[in-house]
Amino acid sequence: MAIHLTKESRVLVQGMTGGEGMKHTRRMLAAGTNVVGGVNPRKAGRTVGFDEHAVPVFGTVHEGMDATGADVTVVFVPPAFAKAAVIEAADAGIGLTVVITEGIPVHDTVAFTAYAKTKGTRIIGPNCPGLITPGQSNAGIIPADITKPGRIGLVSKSGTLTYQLMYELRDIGFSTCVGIGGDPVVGTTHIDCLAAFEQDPDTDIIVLIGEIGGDAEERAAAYIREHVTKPVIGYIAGFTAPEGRTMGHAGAIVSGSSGTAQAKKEALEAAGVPVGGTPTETARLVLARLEAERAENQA
Amino acid sequence: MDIKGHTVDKVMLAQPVDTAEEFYVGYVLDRATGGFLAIASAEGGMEIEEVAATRPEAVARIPVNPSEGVTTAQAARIAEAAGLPPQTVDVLVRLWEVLVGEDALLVEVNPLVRTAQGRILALDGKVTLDDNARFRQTRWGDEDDTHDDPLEAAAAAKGLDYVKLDGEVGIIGNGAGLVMSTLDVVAGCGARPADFLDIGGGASAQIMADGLSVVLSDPAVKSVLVNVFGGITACDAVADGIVRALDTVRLTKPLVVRLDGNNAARGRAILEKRAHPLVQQATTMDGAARRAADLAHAV
Repeated sequence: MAIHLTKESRVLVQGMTGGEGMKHTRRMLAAGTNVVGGVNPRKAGRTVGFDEHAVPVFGTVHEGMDATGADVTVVFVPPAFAKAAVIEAADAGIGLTVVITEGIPVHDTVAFTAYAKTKGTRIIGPNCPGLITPGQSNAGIIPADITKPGRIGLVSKSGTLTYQLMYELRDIGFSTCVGIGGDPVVGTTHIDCLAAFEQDPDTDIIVLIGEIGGDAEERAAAYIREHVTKPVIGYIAGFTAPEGRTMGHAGAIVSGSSGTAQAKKEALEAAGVPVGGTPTETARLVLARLEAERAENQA
Repeated sequence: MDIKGHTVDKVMLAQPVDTAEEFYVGYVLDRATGGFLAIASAEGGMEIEEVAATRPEAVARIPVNPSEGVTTAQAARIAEAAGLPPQTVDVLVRLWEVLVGEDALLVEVNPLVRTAQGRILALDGKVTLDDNARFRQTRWGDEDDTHDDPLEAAAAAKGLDYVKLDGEVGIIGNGAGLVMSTLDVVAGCGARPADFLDIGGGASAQIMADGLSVVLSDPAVKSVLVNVFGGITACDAVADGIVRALDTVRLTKPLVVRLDGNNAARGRAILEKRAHPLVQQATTMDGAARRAADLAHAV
């Protein structure tokens, strides 16, 4: 099962023939992803070799879907062309579009996320590392070999913090890890992933990683309180970030008194979510919670 | 002249205006809905946050449909909801055109006034532009890269993602989330971070050398912590980068390096072989932060 991505997923790569697209298509294939095609109107009809895999290039997402039955697309095209690429994918009716591209103008993101919604296409990202269901499929740039399959679900704004937690909990393993991205507007939120993990029979516990900026974590806390029965463990980055400065991610900024790490931590804790002080402590909280559940089940 | 810490280079003079009424109109990105909100009030001239806090009913907040934008009909609805005179409808439409045309994340006019003679005039305004749109906004001209802080200016000249802070432990890491988290963990050890420096995913030797030279040139820095999680980047490549950086930058302060993730053992071996007297390694993030904090306090 897992969420949004399984070994059955048939994956297209928009921008596969570019530098980043080539590098990461190779990695996705090595992780077992069923990459069924690339999309590039100027290279349609060619085939690109990746080790033992030969991947055809299609002129449009629509042609790629017709020929291969693809249901996921991963977008690596540069910022100036990302909006057109996402709208093309939505028009073709693909189920999931993962936008890796960093630096997309916010007006474009607002436009294509709203448009995709009308077409029933889920967007993950932009400016995200994508998502991985370990042992099954990897759509994006998350390293596949630092963890193993298991029953933890993870949702995060940050790529490297995702990797850190995947690695710290590699002996337990993950159902699916979703990097939703660090931009102010993203297609899939913490709440969307919490809802999916709650429904996923392969997920027992959820790790939620947030950072300064906006109020997505506060809204996630309110959602957890009402709708999530599975245990959730939280981590928030940016307690020491100064007000008014962007910290790496475009969306990571404390404005006045809003968007602080402290407010997010308090909101999560008020919803019954333990929040780790460091990534390592967060991993320990997950282990302790799983241990407590195990003891409870035996009693 | 200095206003709240900002040096004033230019002053605009305008004719005094005999105002009869003051309004507030603006459009702002709403991260919660992933779109733009029109915000309007018949009580302009003061801080809109203050009006919203004390008299929320005096502030109209209306979501703008991304596919339609602000039409005359929509502007009329905004004006009516806020109790603004009909002459402001045209201002609302044109202000939306400014927001879209300029790739702005915020445009506000405060106050928008009706003069005693019945004219509508914008007396003050504020615009936040989206840096991601710079590639298509040629009219913006060159970025104003004058930094008040000389270290930030030096870092910007080298293309580094650096924010100067006021502590004593220099921080270098990969990925915005992990670096923010590193600042927090150092602060949790009782020390204060001296900076935020994200060397990004593919940390090359050059970026490492540039980063180290900027951080070491900060007289407030007493120790430096390099915290890298090898996800896509392999740790041996990062270690090579640090070794090459040590050849070009004269290390004058203790350097604590934590390498974890892909090829961590090989990376650690490379640093061990270099055996620089001021470089020490730690295997965990928390341990590395503790060590760097202790070293900063020992100096």
